[in-house]
Amino acid sequence: MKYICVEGARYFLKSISQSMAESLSKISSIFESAKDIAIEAAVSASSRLADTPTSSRPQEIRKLLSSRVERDVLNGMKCVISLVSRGEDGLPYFAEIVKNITSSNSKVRNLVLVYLTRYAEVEPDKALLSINSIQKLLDDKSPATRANSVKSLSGIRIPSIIPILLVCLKRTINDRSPLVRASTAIAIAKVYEIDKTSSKQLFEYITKLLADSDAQVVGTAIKAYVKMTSRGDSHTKKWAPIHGHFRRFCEILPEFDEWAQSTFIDLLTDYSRMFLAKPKLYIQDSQNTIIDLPEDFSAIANYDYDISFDEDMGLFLKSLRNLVYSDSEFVILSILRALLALAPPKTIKEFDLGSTLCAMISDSDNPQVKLLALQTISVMISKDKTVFAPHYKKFYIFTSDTIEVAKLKLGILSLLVDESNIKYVIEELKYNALNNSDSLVTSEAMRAIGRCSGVSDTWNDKILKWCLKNIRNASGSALNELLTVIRYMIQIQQQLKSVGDSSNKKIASIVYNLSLILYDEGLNLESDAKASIIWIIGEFTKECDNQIAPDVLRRFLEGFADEPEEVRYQLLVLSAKLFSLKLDEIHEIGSSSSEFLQNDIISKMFQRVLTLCKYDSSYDTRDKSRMFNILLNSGHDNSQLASLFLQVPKPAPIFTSLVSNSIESKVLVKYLKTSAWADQSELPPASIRKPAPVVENKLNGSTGVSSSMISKKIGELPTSTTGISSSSYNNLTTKIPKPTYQLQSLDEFFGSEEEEGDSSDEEYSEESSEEDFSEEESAASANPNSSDVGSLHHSNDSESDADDNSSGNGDDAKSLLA
Amino acid sequence: MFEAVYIADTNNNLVYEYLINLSSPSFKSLISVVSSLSADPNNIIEINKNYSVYKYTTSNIIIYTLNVANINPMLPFHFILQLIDVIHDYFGYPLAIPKIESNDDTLTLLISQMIDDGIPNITDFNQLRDIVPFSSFLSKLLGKTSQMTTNAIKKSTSTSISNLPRSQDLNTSSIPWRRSNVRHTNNEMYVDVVETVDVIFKSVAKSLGSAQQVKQFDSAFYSTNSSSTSSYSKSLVPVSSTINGQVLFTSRLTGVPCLQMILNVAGLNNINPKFHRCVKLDTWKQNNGTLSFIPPDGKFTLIKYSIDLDQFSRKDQLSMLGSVSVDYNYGLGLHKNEFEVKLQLPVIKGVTKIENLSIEINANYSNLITIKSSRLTHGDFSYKSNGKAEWNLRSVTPGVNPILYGSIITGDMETDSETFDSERTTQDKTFTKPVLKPAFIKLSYTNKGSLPSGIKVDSLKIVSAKGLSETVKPYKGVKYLTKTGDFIIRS
Repeated sequence: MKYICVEGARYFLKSISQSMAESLSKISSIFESAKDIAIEAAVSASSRLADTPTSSRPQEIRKLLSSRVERDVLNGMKCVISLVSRGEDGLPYFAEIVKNITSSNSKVRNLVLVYLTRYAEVEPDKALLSINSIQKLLDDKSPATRANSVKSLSGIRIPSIIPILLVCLKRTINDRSPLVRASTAIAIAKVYEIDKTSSKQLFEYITKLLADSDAQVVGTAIKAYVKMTSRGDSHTKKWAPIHGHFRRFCEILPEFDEWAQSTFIDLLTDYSRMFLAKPKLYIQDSQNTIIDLPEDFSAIANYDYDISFDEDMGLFLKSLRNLVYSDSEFVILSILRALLALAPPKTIKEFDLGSTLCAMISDSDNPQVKLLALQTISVMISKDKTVFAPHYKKFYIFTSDTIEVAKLKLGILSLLVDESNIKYVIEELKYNALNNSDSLVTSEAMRAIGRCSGVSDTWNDKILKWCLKNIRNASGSALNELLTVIRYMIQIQQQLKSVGDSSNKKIASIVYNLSLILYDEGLNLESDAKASIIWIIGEFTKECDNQIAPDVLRRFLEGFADEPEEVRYQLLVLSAKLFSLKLDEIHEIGSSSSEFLQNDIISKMFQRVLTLCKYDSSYDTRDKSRMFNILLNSGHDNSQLASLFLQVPKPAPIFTSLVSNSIESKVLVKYLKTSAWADQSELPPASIRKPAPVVENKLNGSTGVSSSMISKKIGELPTSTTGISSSSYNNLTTKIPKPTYQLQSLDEFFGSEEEEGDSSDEEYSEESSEEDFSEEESAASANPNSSDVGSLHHSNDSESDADDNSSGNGDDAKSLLA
Repeated sequence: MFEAVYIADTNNNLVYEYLINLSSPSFKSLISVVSSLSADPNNIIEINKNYSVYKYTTSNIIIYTLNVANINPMLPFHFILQLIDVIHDYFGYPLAIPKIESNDDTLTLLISQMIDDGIPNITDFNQLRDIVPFSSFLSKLLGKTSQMTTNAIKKSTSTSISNLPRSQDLNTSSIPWRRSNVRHTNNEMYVDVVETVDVIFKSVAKSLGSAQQVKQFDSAFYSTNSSSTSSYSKSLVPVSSTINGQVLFTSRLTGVPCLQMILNVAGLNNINPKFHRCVKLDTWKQNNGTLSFIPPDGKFTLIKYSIDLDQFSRKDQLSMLGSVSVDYNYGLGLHKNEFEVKLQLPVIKGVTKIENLSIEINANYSNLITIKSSRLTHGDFSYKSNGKAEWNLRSVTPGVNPILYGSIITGDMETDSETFDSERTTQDKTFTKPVLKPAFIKLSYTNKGSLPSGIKVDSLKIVSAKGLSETVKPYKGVKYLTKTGDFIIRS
């Protein structure tokens, strides 16, 4: 009983203490937040200070920055940063800010670093003062600090610190933290940009990071590498580091972040065009033709085919297969670029990218992506439309679509149209041509309908009938488009003329219908539309045996003066056309023209129009009438000339989409462009892609693993797991896949021995820093800053040469053994 | 790659700018060029041969990035969205200018990590939280409390305590998308499955026999006037329909948990999934619907999917178009200008009410005067402008069948009706009179508790958890939400 009591009490106490602890933590968190509120209030007060531009502000900020109280300094820094981020100049505070690089507060320090990378170029002398302290941060325990330090050190674009930088980079490419190594990769790219003299060494560094065991590091290294090589150096040199890692990259691709994935895909696409054999297509036609991947697939559109890829390209494409599930749209776009460049449409279908892109356009949260996806689709359709043909319903117009999206969708629909879906597509286009509230969309829909013609004769007739019916309903630009469509359809009929003379009847009936529309008083046609119709009637009057047009002219002649300018002009053209036809006719008969013309009604009408036009208010009309007068009224030679240019068949209008030259498509086309395939006979052997060694960085205690390339086999455990002892310091784990590597590693080892000698100072300081941070370090970091900077730099160069040789030997040895 | 990031308010006043280096142009110099080059609202603006500006507009801010010209054109937009995610994560919802202004120091540190030397670098917010510490605790707290009030879920104690100084020895997390040393006093995970229905219906004339019957049945109940209605009966056919879904996941779990979620995909074999990078693809491929992943800490989109309903039979398609079905007729009445919208809200398990239910009626006649309602059973009806009217039912419990009977009034109508009496008898006149109909009607609603596709979360469990003790049973919550995107019925 007692025991139970005790137990109970104990339990009670325990629970009390627990709840107390909980409430304590709550209280403390409240305190914490209260403190934060106070700080925030202070911050906003100081930022308000930044807002009001008083003459005393700089002094205030300087005072804060020079304060001994950490919080004041932080506030001062915040003030400056917020000035800078509002587009004002932060330069006046440079000296005060640089001082604070030694601050123990990491936030202050990081802000100073950001500030320095921005302004160091302008004040190189003062910036140099900070180099020491930044370098010191390289030995910080926190990887984030080390990473920041490398980052900002390389961000200070002062050429004189390059030698120090190189030394630092050499250390940090072997840092145990992937974060630091990744930062180093970008730092290398930065240094490369400032200073070309050490490019060889920098390339070596980046090559090493490309071989890193950590995917994050490799990914960042790829980004940096692409940046370095984007300036267009010699080709073979550029690709050298990629060969050996091609296969490994393909393997670890899913582990990269999305930026690296996209960069990588783009890089390897270019690589494949340059170093890999074109895929072969085994076409299943009567002869079982085998061809290389063609540029244009329309020739083989009707055949099924098998594809055989180069082994490495197959590997690459296989690695892309899984990335189709990426939630980053731009990665998908990169994949598309790769597939468009490397594979036939069949592969794109296998990847199911059609539905992926269609999902992208129905996913509504990012209108820009939608637009770009549609652009991509129209680019792809121009190459091969079978990928998207099953998805045509996804391009129906929603009411929430922007005008650009709607126009693109209409364009795509008209490109996808074929026998099987024309019924539905035309229905959709018609709906939009009539019901859409935006006139730009309606006229685009009209154009799209025009582009749909040519699928079949029956459909052409249907479209034409619909067009004629809707002239009465349409207005504005849509009506113009409608008339253009009609003209286009007539011209198609004209081309079919040879087939049979029924087409002329058709044209005649169309023209007759148009003339009826002209006569319809109640319709109130716009002048542009009227003019267009008159033009069409004149243009095709020969096809109607010259029966309809004279009547039209006669009817309009009466009220000629009341017609608007465009109509008067077209009437003149119409009369000229008719007259020139008449002249030709007379000429064929061979009768004397002047006599005949006296009585001919067309001639009379023409002369009448000429007279009327002589006094027209429009310059154009007057000018044209004079021209016709001379051409047609002054003898046979001239009239022949006139009939030449009046009766010449005009080219059919081309229905280019309005949006095809938009900025989006320009940007897209630029991006999708790839380099040409390399000459297939000069491809290097596949053996250059033999896997290169992977550099494993141990995750044990030592800060810097030496850069020498002593290597171990994959999977072998590091022997020195104890960590920090200085004897294990140089122990390095480099993975290589082949035991034959023994030879190479020796060679490498020779190269690296020299390196060791050069950098021993550095490494010594690193080592000691393991035990004690404070003093030795500053001495060490002061070291490169002193006068022998130049010599250090020099020796680095020569050492890199040695390394280069040795690796060359290694390769030789390897290929010998292999 | 990137040269600068600018954040401006909707009037293009600079709020924040981040320049990669001194040579990048300031916003002041850029905006004049940008505004001179783009009269229309373009989102990609070419500055010159080498540079272009990408623009992303949200409700209250505009974000610009300056990029070199020959990059992947979707990349800057992805970056901007990531940036918005990070701002949300650090400074709380919603995106607001004062928040950016008062935190511009932290934002500078963040962007300096996100872009290094113009290269997009570390953009994942979990990873960033390891590198850039929280500075503004208050805004986070405020964000939390507002969430608390809305969700009515106790979260005050779940405030993450991981921003305490970390033990220095630990390396940064080996899982790039999960920050290291996550600790929560309340362990919880929430799954929100949201589906959006996009559909275009076309109305076609019904075969008369069945139509008559349906009509008679209806008119018995609601005594819809005029017997002529039946002859104009229409049925709706979906011509294009898609369901877009996403699974939003919120994880507040200590340590490094490995989760398994089984998504019952309801027999759909291709839902075009897009996964967050944490999802193991192999498991999904082996077992359609099984997601195995180590979640990032916080809120993220686990999977996005899209179901193309056009591949199904008409019947299946109709069954997957959500919890409200519509019956729609037009061209009714003597003037052929009346229309009728009937909604059917069947009782579905798990759905207690349909929210934000409204119907937009659009007519574009140049001489349109108004759209008016002559009869409605629920909600209220109002004519907005530009040929738009709205029938707003707000929240409705399933099981009812609201009806709207309305008419379109145009200028011609007015003059016609004066002379109408005399001409009513002439059959020809009524025949030639054009049918006045809405161009389309648009339905919108949301409802909780069910998904049109039938997808369900069958189970969610922690397979293994490093750092999370066995005894801890995290709170799990699953929510389903159906939304309409473009739910359009064309006349």
